[in-house]
Amino acid sequence: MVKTVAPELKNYMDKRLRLELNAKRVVIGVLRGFDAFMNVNLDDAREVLPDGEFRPLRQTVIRGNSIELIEALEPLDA
Amino acid sequence: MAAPQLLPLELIDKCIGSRIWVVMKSEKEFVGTLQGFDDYVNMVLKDVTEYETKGNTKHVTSLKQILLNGNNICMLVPGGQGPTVACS
Repeated sequence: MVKTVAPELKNYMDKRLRLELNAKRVVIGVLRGFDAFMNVNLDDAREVLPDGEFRPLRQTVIRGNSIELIEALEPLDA
Repeated sequence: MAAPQLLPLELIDKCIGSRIWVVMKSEKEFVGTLQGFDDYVNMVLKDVTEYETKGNTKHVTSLKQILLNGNNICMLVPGGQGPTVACS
């Protein structure tokens, strides 16, 4: 029996985050949910393109597999 | 507890029957109607437009119904309209 633990993203809930994905993609959005695989549910999301332009995404699911880095753009509570 | 959160797969589940924009880890994207998905987020899509970026150009293909392997999916955007073909 394997115990899988959810990632400790509770402190990041409802905060604006900057995610770096593989293939040098950058996405900014508000964390609304996550699961044990670190799949992430973002609200009001946008992809930041290399030239600085935004590609609006609104509500988005990001596969945990492709997340390399999570940066909080606003202070966390804990 | 984390009760009020919206689970990522719940959001995809709500999207069944509507358009979804799927961005792959590579320079490939799909826009289609979501018919279903499984635990591995393999997806069944119909009336699909496939966008492939090669250098400066985008190649567009139409596919009736596909099973998309979840292994290389990066992002899923419910109700998304896909990449704008003319992007500066």
